[in-house]
Amino acid sequence: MDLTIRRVGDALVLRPELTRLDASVALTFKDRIGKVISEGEKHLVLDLARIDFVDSSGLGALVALLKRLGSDGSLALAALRPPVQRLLALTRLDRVFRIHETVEGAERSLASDRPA
Amino acid sequence: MNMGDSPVSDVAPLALSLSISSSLTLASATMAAIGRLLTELLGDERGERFALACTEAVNNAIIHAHGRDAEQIVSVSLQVSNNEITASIIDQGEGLALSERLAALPENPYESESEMPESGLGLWLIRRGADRVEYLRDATGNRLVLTLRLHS
Repeated sequence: MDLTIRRVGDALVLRPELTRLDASVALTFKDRIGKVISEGEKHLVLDLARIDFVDSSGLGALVALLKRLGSDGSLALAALRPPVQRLLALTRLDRVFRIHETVEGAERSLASDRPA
Repeated sequence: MNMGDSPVSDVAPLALSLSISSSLTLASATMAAIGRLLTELLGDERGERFALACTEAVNNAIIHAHGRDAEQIVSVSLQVSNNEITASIIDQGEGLALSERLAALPENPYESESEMPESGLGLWLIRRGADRVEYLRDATGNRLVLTLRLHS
């Protein structure tokens, strides 16, 4: 699974180069981003612009990463496509993830959250 | 052609049947194609939910019934008749005892943030994606039948 990584301040913006976050790739996705967390990163933005399908395994991976970061870290989701937005609303996970319409919006939010 | 949320009004008789090896990679590609067909037929939101339900059923068969044994076969069929679409997902694996689990599903996927599940949402999504879900078990394996009205 290809993952494009970009640093913005003390956060990383991660873009999985996938169109489907499903059972065929969810474990790899979780392990790959889990490795980033293991390396000490606490604030992550997931750019999901390419992903138009998520299944229960993909949702489980996102929840696992959110739990792993815990209260000391943050996991924001950005650039969700309509099918993914609708799934997060259906499962009420839109209430627990910080969601941004665009990656740029997520970056601005990160900047305003941190002291200059 | 993308029909958006306006489903096809004059759905021609439709029947599709295919069998795949118990591979999650193969299932992903197959269900992506079926998902496009279902959103054309049912509109974006209902098509996405039904496609997701079918995908969860196929993944259940591969992971739980067949234990990811790629030698096993999962069959998927779609049929439109009587203003309904029916999807049947058939495997030859271990019994999944889904009737009891379907009957016990809660209305909400979880009750509080601390209970957010890392797994186990699949059956809930199957139930939410279809009007009716029937589970049949016989000597040859499991059959999950999902039915949805063509028009909401």
